[in-house]
Amino acid sequence: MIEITMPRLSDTMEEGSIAAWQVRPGDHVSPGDVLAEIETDKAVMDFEAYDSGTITELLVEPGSAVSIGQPIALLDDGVAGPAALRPGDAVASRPGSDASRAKSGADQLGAGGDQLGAGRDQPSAGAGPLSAGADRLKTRAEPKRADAPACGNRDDRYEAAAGTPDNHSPHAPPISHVLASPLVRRIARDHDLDLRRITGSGPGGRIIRRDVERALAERNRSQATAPSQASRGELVRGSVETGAHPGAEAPGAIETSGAAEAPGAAPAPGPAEAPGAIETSSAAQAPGPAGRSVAGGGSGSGGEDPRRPIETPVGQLRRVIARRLTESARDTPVFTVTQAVRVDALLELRAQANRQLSATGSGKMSVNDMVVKAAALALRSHSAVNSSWGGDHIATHGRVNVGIAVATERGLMVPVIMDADVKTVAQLGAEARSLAELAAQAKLAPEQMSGGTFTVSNLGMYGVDQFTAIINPPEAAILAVGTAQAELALDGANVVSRQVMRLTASFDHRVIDGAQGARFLVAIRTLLENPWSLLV
Amino acid sequence: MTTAATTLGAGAAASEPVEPVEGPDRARSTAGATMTYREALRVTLAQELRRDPNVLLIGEEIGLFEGSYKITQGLLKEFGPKRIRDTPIAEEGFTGAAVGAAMLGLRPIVELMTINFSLLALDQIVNHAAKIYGMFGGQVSVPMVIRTPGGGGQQLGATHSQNVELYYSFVPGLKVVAPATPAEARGLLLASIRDDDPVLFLENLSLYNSKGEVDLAAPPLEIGRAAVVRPGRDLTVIAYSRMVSVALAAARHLAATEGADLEVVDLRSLRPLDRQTFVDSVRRTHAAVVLEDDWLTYGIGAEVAASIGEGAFDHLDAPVRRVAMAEVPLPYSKPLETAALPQMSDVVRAIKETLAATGFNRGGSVSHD
Repeated sequence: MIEITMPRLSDTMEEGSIAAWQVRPGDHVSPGDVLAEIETDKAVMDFEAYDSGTITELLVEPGSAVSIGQPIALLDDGVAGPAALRPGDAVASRPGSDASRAKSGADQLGAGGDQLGAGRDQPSAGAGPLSAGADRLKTRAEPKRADAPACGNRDDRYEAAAGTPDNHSPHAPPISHVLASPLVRRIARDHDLDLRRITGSGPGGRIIRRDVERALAERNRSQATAPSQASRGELVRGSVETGAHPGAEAPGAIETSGAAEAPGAAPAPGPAEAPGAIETSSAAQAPGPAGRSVAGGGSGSGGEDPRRPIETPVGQLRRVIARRLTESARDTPVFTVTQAVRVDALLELRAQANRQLSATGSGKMSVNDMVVKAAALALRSHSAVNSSWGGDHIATHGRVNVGIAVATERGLMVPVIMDADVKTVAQLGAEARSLAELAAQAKLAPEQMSGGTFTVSNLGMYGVDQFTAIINPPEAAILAVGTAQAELALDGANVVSRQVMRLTASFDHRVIDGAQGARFLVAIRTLLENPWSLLV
Repeated sequence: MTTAATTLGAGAAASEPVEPVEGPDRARSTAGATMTYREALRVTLAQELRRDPNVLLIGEEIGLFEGSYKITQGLLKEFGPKRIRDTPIAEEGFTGAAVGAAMLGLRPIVELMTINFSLLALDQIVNHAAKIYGMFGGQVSVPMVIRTPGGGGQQLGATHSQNVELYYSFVPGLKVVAPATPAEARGLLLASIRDDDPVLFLENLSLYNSKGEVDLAAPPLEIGRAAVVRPGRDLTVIAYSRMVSVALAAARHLAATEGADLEVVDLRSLRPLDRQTFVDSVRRTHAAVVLEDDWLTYGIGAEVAASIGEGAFDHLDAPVRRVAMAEVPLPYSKPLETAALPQMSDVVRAIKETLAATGFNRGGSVSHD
């Protein structure tokens, strides 16, 4: 019997979800057969069998996240072995394995603890070696209070720590592998909080008290506005949310900015609240069955409010986006520089080029391809921007690898074009299109999303004038590209119309100073305003 | 005061009923005198010698020379050579003599010049003093005190700068106390002398000249009871002996510089160990740093940290940190010795890192909107 475990499919992967099983119990598999599609923090990948045999059990439901190394299926390879085990057992119960030895060691510890207790109750029994009771070999001479000090590990909390209050169903995702302090786990148990939905701000992403208290406060707020948690499972079609914030959910949007996500992330946006006052009267007549009703200022509780906030579970990708961007926003001192670029010449050149390209059947050149090229060339001559903060050093990168922020239905992806500075605009365009296509299908390989030294984020296609983007660590800068549009300008004494595009670069000030940032952006502008220089 | 303690027979052991104990900190409320740790010890010894004729002192250079650290100054003159016994340089011999005297009803107080020399008396302490009561079914007790200073930082070299109280804290049948202030020195010495078990009374070279308020009328402190010597909200620092003053200094520093509100627990007694007090404290503060003036591995800090893991697991928001000395024989060279011993800066760093791990000082209050 072989335990098939969750593989490590990328460097940053800590857990993965089974997007879909491709086998069922009873299926025979051979090496190379696809067992499952696994969704990681970066992509959905096929997971192939290494051994042949018969699948006897699938241990993880599709959609459940499990940690690396956790058993996900059992494969009968004809070699006798122990029967099925639950995922909650982790890697423990294979007899003779280190893990099982460690576990039984822990059991012994537990027993030892009991002995301590027994020894204390009966100092003369002589049962437990080194029992704490031996501290008071004689009870007679001791002041009464002296009993108490030795009792430190003897009260209820000791049992609470040793017990297993979590009552997971066999196939529940293993919350035990979320990085969280013991205090946080207890608070989560007491308040029925799902730690997998909380982003940790402690060392290594550990969830600490601060995070969980914040989450509780948020939950209390949302309960106060719409105390209808009981039926949150039902989705209401055409809710206020999707109608009111099309921008936040528009699937085609390319964005990296955390700010752009804010409307979508906040569970109770403004529009939902004002009409809510009307709803409460009808809701009060139909109180929800049990559930967590909050006694909030006579606002009544009910499960029928069609405009209540809808909770969508956070998937792997969104969780990673949230964590990385939070880290970036929290840890990076950012300054931004905005520059208007005259793009009449660029647009003219692109139009000419595309006429010729379409005549030859080649793919067209986009403004974004030219911006990427300009950025790559400017990075080569401004290597300070092509750097990373390393705590005690600054790493200046030799290669210029430009990430392109791509919005997908699953969320933001940033595929990377390696060595963008030495590729032609046409090459960059072809590569960008194929990467975006892969991103949309969640087929990007991890190596296609790593190694970036700079990112370009373009919201110009939405008509956005300008915006600021959040740096994608460990990069030190990101370029936010607005739309190109006609503007009136003074040319000497004459008012003229010009095509203008605004670029905003965000810089990590630990690495890049203001003047360096300004010079870098001016270099991009100069290249874009003299577009033939992009082609040589 | 001329009664020589010659009573024989365990039945005559003058085990005075221990005075009722008040809260340890209440003792300070009564008017007291400011005195050094050294002076508090000397005065208390004299008080007890006067109070109980069965109390006697035995050790090297304690009589004519009045003690290597002058703790016994003037005592020979007042109490005479029968109760203030100078001995040859033979720790095992005079410690063993004290064990025998205690078995026969006296209350000997042994002075070992430094705790390093206690190793020469290890067999008498561990195999005799600690075991006799249990091995002989409680027929005879060993009410003796071994007073001895530990501590580095005096450029006394590796063999004379140790803190081997751990060896004794490990042994059932012994009690080990470690006063951190003059008042604690008095209160715990009284308790040790009046206790019917052998007590290792740990002094510290660097504390002898430290000053503090001492209430000469206060009752004994309780062996086996720690004290919260500074209440706080954000993190618990646990220490004993010299490191208590380091902990308090670090707490004051971090209150001024970081706005941190640290709780400091003074263990006072290493065996029995008052787990309740520091576990309760950590359950309030959710984070702990343990200080010890000794090597890290297998140390007292390890015991404290493990107890926190057992008793306050569900209350921890960050791993328990320990600050200890470098794991080397303590160097003689002053800069190296200083580098090896845990300093205030080490303590402050560990506390700051632990506070940071709990999100302290990051992003303001938890419940902001």
